[in-house]
Amino acid sequence: MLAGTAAGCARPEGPWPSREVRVIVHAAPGGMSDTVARFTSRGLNERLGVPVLCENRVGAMGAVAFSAVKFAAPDGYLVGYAPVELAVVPHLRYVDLSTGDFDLLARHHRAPAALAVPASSPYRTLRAFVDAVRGGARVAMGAAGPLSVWHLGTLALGRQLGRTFIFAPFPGSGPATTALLGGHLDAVMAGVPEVQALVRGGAVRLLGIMGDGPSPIFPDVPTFRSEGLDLLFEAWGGFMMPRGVAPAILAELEQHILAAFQQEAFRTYCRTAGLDVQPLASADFRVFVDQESARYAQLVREFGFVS
Amino acid sequence: MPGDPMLLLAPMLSPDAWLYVLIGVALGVLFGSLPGFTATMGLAVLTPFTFWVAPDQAMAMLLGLLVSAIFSGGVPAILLNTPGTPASIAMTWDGHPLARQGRAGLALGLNAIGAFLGIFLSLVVLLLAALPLSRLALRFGPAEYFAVAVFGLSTIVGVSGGSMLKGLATGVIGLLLAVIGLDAITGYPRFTFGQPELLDGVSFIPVMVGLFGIAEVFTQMASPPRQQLDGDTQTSGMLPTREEARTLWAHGLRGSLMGIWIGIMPAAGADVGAILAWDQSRRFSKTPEKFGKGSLEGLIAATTGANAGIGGSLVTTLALGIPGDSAAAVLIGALLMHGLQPGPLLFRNRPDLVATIVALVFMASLVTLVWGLIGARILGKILKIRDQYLWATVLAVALGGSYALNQSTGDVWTAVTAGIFGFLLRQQGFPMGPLVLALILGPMAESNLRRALALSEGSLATFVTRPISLLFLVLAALTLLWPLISRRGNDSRLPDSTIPDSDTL
Repeated sequence: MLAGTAAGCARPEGPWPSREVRVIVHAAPGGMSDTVARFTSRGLNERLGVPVLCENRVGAMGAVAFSAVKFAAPDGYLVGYAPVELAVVPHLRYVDLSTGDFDLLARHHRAPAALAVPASSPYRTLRAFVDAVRGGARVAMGAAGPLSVWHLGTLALGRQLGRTFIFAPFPGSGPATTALLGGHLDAVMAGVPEVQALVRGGAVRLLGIMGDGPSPIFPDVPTFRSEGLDLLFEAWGGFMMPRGVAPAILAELEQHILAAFQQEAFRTYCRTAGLDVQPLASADFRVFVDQESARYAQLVREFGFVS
Repeated sequence: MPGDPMLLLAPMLSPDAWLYVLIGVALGVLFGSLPGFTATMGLAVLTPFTFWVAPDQAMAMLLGLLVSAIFSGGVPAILLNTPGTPASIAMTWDGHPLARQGRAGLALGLNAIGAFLGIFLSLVVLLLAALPLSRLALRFGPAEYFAVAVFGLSTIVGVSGGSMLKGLATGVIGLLLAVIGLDAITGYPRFTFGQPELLDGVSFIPVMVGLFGIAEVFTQMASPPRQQLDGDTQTSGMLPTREEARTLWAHGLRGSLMGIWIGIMPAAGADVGAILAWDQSRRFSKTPEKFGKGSLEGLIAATTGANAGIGGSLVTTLALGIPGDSAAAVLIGALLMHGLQPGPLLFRNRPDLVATIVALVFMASLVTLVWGLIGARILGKILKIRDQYLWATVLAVALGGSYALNQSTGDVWTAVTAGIFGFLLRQQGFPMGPLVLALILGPMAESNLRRALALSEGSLATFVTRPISLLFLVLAALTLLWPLISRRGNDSRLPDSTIPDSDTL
């Protein structure tokens, strides 16, 4: 924050944008969030005519990156990547954060939770799986966690079925999937993009997804809602700024970001990676994030993670 | 078949590929050799470029960086007792004593040869047995990883140098530091005292930089001025004599195998590989008493163990499409960017791609070998720099690197605290090896123990009824009992703690 203020004082500012814009990403380079941020940055760079640089601030489920954005000067030169964790982490009270600390620019994609089993699993359909669990089958589940949306989705599924799973959290969906392939777990809850390669390769089978409609990537996989289970758990990603940026800058950036989503190479990447691109403009994204935030606030309380 | 010689040869005939490999290697040298700057940071610099160049060019740069970073990390480890990357921690134990004995050139030469040997062997394994090996690696679940971590921790006995008691003490300190941060199973903050910086635990790189780099600076300041060594005598002999080389092959081979295997397992990295390789070599050596005091065998085991992990981790990355570490994640990202999804399907359908990756790694290791042998002559001269300039530079780089890691002043304070703490411990003859080992393996042991117990619904039997887990626990028990057994045999016991040279460990 100090550095930002000092730079702001030292340099005479021309009309925005007159210098480089930074994009803070909560995840490591090379991953899905990072790639989405970098494609968007390139589009922004072409439209704004100034360098747009991605910075990775990994840690504490995104709290490190969110804090960096929250405390940055609202001068229009710092953008944050806004993942689903933004709706979860503030309720855990690791650091003082709220979705109200940010101005939201646009949503890019949604990626619903997918229930995946090994190809050799006895569970061939979602109904068979659900019936077995209801009937008392002991199912060992794994997911990234603790407290990832996949973990919360697993807990919510167990609650709706009136059973608890044997559950182990893993440091990410990758390690959880590895354990699934090795036969150490019966099923894994992860995002569709995180398992799609193994699904296409025939190593794992998707039983169902927790989206509000069929996934365009796997249209044949049923949703949990179609089985009468009201479960909606998904990862999403968008962009935000620290609160207090001039409305004119916000409006301009919103348009540029939405336009950046349309790059051909970006769309190709999203298709390969299994990302369901569903852009939302600023006002709708705010409504969406506030709904998500309220839902997760209730869930982390109900599941006993905070009092 | 990815092993088709034509497929392997194609990239080696392309001047383009060599150029991009060179760029990657140069970046790797920079980020690898500066303590605090890591290969991951180099990857972050490279990632934007990988977006806009062809996939084979992106891979050439990434693999070049990866290959040279681990090698380069060994250079400051040998010359300054300050590892450039976590993978080169084990290289300080024998590499630095060698440099002190006036054989820096030989140590640097061995580091270059060991890196090449380890990578070469790991590529052979990747070509011949990637799919079956990756399936075997999958059999390692939480129970097995816990057992491996316990086995790794049991080597504290080996890396304690003179005094076992002092080694255990620093090991326990490491384990205690490892519990700080968000609980990996429940998500509750532990011992963070409300400091957001501690939520992710004590970050390892600043601790490493502090314990080795900064503590070394303080140690140099406190000790009488060093005899200025002549840089030329330092670097005259870069190759071991025929007599010395005879025993090294076996240790290089064993180190490579250990490194390959640790690399294949998705949850363990090159740092663990190097330490385990070093400890295994000590166990099998005819001269274990030299380990930690400038043993060529120990150095070659550590360097092959660290570098062979590259091919090993590529096995799981390519065969399963699951990134084992941050470097593999960037590699997968670069492939995805161009519509290629790594995984079993790609491995079967695109042998040309696997062959290209193997060829690029080979090219990078060749460039690194040449640089290592030529560079050793130049780098050895670092020791001719006058103490006050040299150590001031090390201090500046160490602090700068700690900050650059996450642009966090918290990391700088961690490094300084670790530096002071490490200096005080070393003055009293406490070895640093057990501390870093515990800090690396502690979280792996704890989270996998609890994960395994969650899956077994609390039954401890899971650790002994699974054969792989049982095997490693038995190995760990044997390692712990080894000093008692060998005392009876009265031969290969470690020397007494009367000589306070454990500061090199």
